[in-house]
Amino acid sequence: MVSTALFFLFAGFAIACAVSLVYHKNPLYSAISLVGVFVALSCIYLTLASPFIAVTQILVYAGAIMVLVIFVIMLLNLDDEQPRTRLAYLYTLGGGLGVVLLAQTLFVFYSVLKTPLQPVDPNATAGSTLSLGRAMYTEYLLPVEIVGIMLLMAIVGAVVLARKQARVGLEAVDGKKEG
Amino acid sequence: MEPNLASYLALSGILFTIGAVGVIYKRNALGMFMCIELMLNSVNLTFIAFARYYGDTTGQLFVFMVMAVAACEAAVGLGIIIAFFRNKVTIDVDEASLLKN
Amino acid sequence: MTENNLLSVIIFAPLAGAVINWLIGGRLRNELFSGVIACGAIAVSAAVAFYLAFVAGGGALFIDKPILDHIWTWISVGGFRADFALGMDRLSGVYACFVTFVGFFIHVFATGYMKGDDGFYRFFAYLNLFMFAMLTLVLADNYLLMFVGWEGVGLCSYLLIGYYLKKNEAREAAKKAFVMNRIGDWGVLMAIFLTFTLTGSISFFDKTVGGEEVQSVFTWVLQNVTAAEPFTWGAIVAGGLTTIGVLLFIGATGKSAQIPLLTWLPDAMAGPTPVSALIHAATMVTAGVYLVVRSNVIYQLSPTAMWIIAIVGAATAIFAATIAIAQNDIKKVLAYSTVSQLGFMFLAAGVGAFVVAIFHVMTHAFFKALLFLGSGSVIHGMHHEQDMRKMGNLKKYMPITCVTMATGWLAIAGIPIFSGFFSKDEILYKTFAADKYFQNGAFPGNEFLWIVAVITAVLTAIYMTRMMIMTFWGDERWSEPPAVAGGLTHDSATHDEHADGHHDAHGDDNDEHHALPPNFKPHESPWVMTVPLIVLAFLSTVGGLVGIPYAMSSLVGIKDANAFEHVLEPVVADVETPAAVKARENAKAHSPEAVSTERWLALLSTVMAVFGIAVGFLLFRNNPLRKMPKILEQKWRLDEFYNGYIVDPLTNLSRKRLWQGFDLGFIDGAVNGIGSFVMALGNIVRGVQVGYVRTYAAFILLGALAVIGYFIYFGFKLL
Repeated sequence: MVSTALFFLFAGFAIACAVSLVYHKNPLYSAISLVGVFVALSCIYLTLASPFIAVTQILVYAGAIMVLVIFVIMLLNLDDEQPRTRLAYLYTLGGGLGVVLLAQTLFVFYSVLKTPLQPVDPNATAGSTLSLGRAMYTEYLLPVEIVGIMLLMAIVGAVVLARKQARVGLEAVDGKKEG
Repeated sequence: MEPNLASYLALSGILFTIGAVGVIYKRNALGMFMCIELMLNSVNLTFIAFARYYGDTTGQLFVFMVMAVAACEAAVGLGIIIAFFRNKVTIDVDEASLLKN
Repeated sequence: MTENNLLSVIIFAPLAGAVINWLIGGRLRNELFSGVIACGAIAVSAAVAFYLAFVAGGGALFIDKPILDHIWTWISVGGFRADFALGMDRLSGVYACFVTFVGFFIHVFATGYMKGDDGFYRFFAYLNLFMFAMLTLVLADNYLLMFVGWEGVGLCSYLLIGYYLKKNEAREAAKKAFVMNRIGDWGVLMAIFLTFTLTGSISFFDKTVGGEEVQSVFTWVLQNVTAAEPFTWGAIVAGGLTTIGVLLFIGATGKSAQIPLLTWLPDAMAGPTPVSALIHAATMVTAGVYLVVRSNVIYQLSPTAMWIIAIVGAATAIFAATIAIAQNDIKKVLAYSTVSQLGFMFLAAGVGAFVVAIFHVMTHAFFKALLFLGSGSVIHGMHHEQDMRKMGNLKKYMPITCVTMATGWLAIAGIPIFSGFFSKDEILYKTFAADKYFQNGAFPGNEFLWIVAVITAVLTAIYMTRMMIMTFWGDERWSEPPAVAGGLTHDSATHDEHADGHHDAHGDDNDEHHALPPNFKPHESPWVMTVPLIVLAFLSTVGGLVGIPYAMSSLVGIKDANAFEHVLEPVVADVETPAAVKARENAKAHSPEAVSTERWLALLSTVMAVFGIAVGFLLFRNNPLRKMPKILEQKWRLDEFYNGYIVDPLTNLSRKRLWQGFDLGFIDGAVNGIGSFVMALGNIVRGVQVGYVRTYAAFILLGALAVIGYFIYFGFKLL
């Protein structure tokens, strides 16, 4: 009973925030809405017996990624979006596609549910931090390492992309290389 | 009723759809970016739900990986957005239409 | 079977020379360098060839097994096996020796002849490349590799005939040679296919490669074919040995300029004279004879093919000889003479005297190379004047050339002691006695062929005498205006007639018409040109002594002087048909009446040769510019016949029907139709590419939905 109430509360909150994310023209409002979605989802993760993932969700998404986004918004000093007159057909098209997508997704999940499920042991430790850590550093060590390297590459890539472009032409004229 | 697997999947589907439609609706790059993050999160939700109901750790691990990828994507994507802004002084993606002609 | 890797040196030395000349010589542009490289490459080749033929392991010419050199396995698929491998048996040994030897002297001659030419390095690169291809042809140990050489000599012939790029005539001649040879190549290819189909092999020699036994074509034939094929027209299309023989001969007619594919060779004289000497007299054109003799097993078992070869050879011989009488261009005379002599060789092969055919190939290589080089020397001395009507009395100015050419003249006319006498005489005798030696026991029409051959011999003596008289005796005519307007005939109907009085300078020179200086005097050529002449003259004189027939040698009491025949006898396989056995017995027996017949015939042919020379002197000594029948000057209008009945209809068909109708209408229509269809489609769908990111996102989503929908649709059935 309580769990049902909690689920509907958080699910409703998540959907409302998601809608507002799409609806708002001001990117800052959108960002705040997205943070709302993240928080709601992390609460749902808690109800799904995944405390570690829930905490990580808050830390990584809300704490890191969204802060980064908001930094960028502030940095660029963005205005609101333009009124949606341009490419008006996209709104009907997108809506239609969205309806179809929803239908298809739900149907897929429905058919997945038709497949027989193994009964769940209520005391299962599947989501516990201990079992997660064990799996991560034994069985899944290589993917974790690869993800680490990928993060490094992303950092380098971001720096390369975002730094100010050096004025290459002048150096060539001077003939002097600046270290 | 108790929330079961189906309800979590339904929520995930709804969120995913909203995100997907949002990518098409949003005109500024940051908005699109955030909608993509929303889609990623909805998929994470299905992973967690399945992991819970099938009693398997792999789903949670996969969520972990997806988060790492999302972080990478955020870093690179925001870098791209900044570079784009330097060139166009706006992040309206409709301005990026050099291919049009 | 002995392995000897030196064999590959024979073919790769000229190739290396060609590459060096092309890559380095083209940079240096130094005539000394190019000449030394080219001649050195051939010298190496010749040295190795002689070493292998006479010394190594007893000498390839004297041991029974061929010397083999397996370089690499080229193709090995299922039962089909073609190696890049060389083999030197007695036949290819003889060929390799005289090709490299004559080739070397022609190379030396060419260094003098081509002096000052822009493309000196290019010329020698081509010449060396030709030697590479020719030696590959001769030394190949299977039909396919032989065909590689066969094509290679065709290519080099094309390059060298068209060496004077600025001369339209040279370009046309090169094209003509190439196309005609291609027609013949079809026959060779078909023959190779058929050979493999019949025998499951294309190899010339039995050998063991990497533990695998390779059976030769000829061994298979000897083991599996016991009786000769019927002597009927139907045998030609029966798909047996006769078909192979005829197809190979079609190839040989192309390469060796026999009827009907002979018109390219006279045109090929547009190339430089050393090329004419090397390719179109001594070596390449005898490749057809080599092919026939190499496949003698097949021919011995197919009388029809042999009969066809003999008939065509004799017909070509007399046809070309009649034309040669009326030509005024010194090189043209020699070209038709070559065609005629090649006809003799095929006549010999056709009546089953394979050894004699090769003997004649060799002697002909000596005296015809000599005559060509002599003509080159004359042309050189006359400042690239080739019209004999503008020569005369050159013996005063060019003594060495005159004397050496005279030996060649006597050799080709068939005066005893000179090399041509022995080989030609042997051919005449074998033709006369074909019934005895023909592998079927009967040769219809051999007497007639013999008469034709004798007449040809007389004609040969006449036209060579005419050539010598017009060139070396009589008055000096180079300062006179030309005697007959437009008198010189043209090689092909393709190029326009010169209506006015000046002649075609078929000169080895880029400027078509150049007047001689007023006080012009011909001069003797430098030693690089005369030394080869002297060497070849010596060989033309004594070269025939290696093959003195029994009937001749027994006159002076020597029983067994025919070394050449003994060397080559094993090449001709012992076919076990009754007629062949009998023929062999006849050949070995030297029965008194056969010997006396041969002696009488030799006497007759000597008389005929002397008679021909006498007639030549009578006709032309005091009137060297005697008008000859026009039809002969125009080569029986064979070119016009070909153009009118084959080339033009083909051109018409190609142009009107195939090109304008089928190609432009149908194929281009289809292609353009596809193009315009795609463009129309593009115009329709290009609205999709609006250039907005969000639209693309929408399309991505649409695609994803379509994919998911597909799976749902088919998954739904499973539910």
